[in-house]
Amino acid sequence: MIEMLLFYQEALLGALVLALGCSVLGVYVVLRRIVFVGAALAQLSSAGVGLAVFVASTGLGLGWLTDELTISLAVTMAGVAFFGYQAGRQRIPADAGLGVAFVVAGGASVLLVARSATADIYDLFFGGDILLISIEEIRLLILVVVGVLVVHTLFFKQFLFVSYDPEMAATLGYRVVGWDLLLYMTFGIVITLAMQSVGVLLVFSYLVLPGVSGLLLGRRLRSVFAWSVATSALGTMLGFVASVAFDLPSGASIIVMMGVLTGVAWVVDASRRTRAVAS
Amino acid sequence: MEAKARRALITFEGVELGYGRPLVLKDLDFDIEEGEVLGLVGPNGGGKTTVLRAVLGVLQPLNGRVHRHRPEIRFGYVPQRSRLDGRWPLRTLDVVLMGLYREAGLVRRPSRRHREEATALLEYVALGPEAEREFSTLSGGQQQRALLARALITRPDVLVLDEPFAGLDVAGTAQLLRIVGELHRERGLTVIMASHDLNTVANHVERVALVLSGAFRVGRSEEVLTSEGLTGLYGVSIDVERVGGRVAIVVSSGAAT
Repeated sequence: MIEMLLFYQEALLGALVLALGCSVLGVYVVLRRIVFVGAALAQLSSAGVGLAVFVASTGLGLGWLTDELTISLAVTMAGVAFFGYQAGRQRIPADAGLGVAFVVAGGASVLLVARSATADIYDLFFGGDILLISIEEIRLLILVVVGVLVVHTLFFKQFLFVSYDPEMAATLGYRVVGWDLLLYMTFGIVITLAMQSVGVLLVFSYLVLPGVSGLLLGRRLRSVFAWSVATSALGTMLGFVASVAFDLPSGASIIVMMGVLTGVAWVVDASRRTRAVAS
Repeated sequence: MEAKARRALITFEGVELGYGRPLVLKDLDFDIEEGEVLGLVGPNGGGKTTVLRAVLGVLQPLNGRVHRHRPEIRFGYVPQRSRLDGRWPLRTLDVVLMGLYREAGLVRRPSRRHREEATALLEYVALGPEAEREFSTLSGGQQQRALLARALITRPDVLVLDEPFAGLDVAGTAQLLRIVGELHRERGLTVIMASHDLNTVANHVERVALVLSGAFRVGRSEEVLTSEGLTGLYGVSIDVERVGGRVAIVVSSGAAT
């Protein structure tokens, strides 16, 4: 099995890089109660891939301008601009708007790919397969994730302030919409790249499960981030091992392992609360 | 609190406020005077917070203008506690430090001096021992005082409080009123507080603005808070009694006659 793991070490590295990036963003996603922004952006990103595949099949491709990454990023960023600017300003509830984006983007993805692609592409597109990630993709992932983490480190206090108390932040002169957009852009960039490598479901899982675990286990914001990263890293490694050992789909194995870890976090939190009440 | 002759600090001139149509409030023409204590009273949803947002400059008028007579007025804002999500695992000290984020600079974290300043203010509002405690585990009154400390750390000229007494018991309300009164007297802070609690506001402000479903009336407490005026505005029978220099506002059962 060790040999098999070594054979897939690049894929594991790619998954860990994604896990790191998504688990940091996931803390904001969970605390800001925008988990469906993650789902909707991932689905929009997949619609972008579908559009690129469709354009390519018509023979109207324009090089890098119409490749999967470019179109996917453009569609996701349009979603980012819409969700970031519209937050709290819509007549309909925010989750309804996200639901609309999610299902419409999902439907469009199916139609675009069904009209233009092979079943292989279809599977890769929806299920994702981290085992097929290339070294170039991993390099790009590392570059982007490190860049996003630098932005999050530098502007931590702005992201925290506009997320926790936007009214007070605005009173002190912060451009809340601008900071929200920057935060959402970091979501969009990471989600777009992640979607190409691991598929919608795993991206969504990386954005939600580690953040939930972090919140259950961490007592301070810093430790919430730490637990979130630890959950995603451990879940990824365990899922990878299970995937190789039992010949299971890698993405689903990682999701289930992170789910188990989140369950453990739930139990730890519940017992901690019970002890606190008893004392 | 005793009123003195004062200069206008902020002037509302023909202001219309809202979030699209229909308007929340229109024809707002009044001054906020330097060093005064102004109470905005009215029922929930009447537009008090909307007026506060316009005062703070985070809501632009749809028509008219909100004129600031000094170019740099610093606001210390105490938001409604219920708007803050208790799931964020933040220490009380972290919450107070947010008031200094801008001063800390674009990418720098608050310094040791900032933390000392925040700690000193927490001690001022009698929360020194709670600095390391998670903010969401504080009582309502403690949270309100922590938010007051956060507002004060911005070294404000104007203290703006939105429903500061909501959910507080009598002791919590009294403690908060004592601190705010002290800040007004000793530091000369202008105080604007929005509350649906007529009795509390009536006894601790110099002027009152009644904000009710599009209607707006501002004046000295004894001019605005009359039985006839309040009964007309709320549509229920309200008695205003003045006993020993204190105001008691009592709602009678049944509709106004």
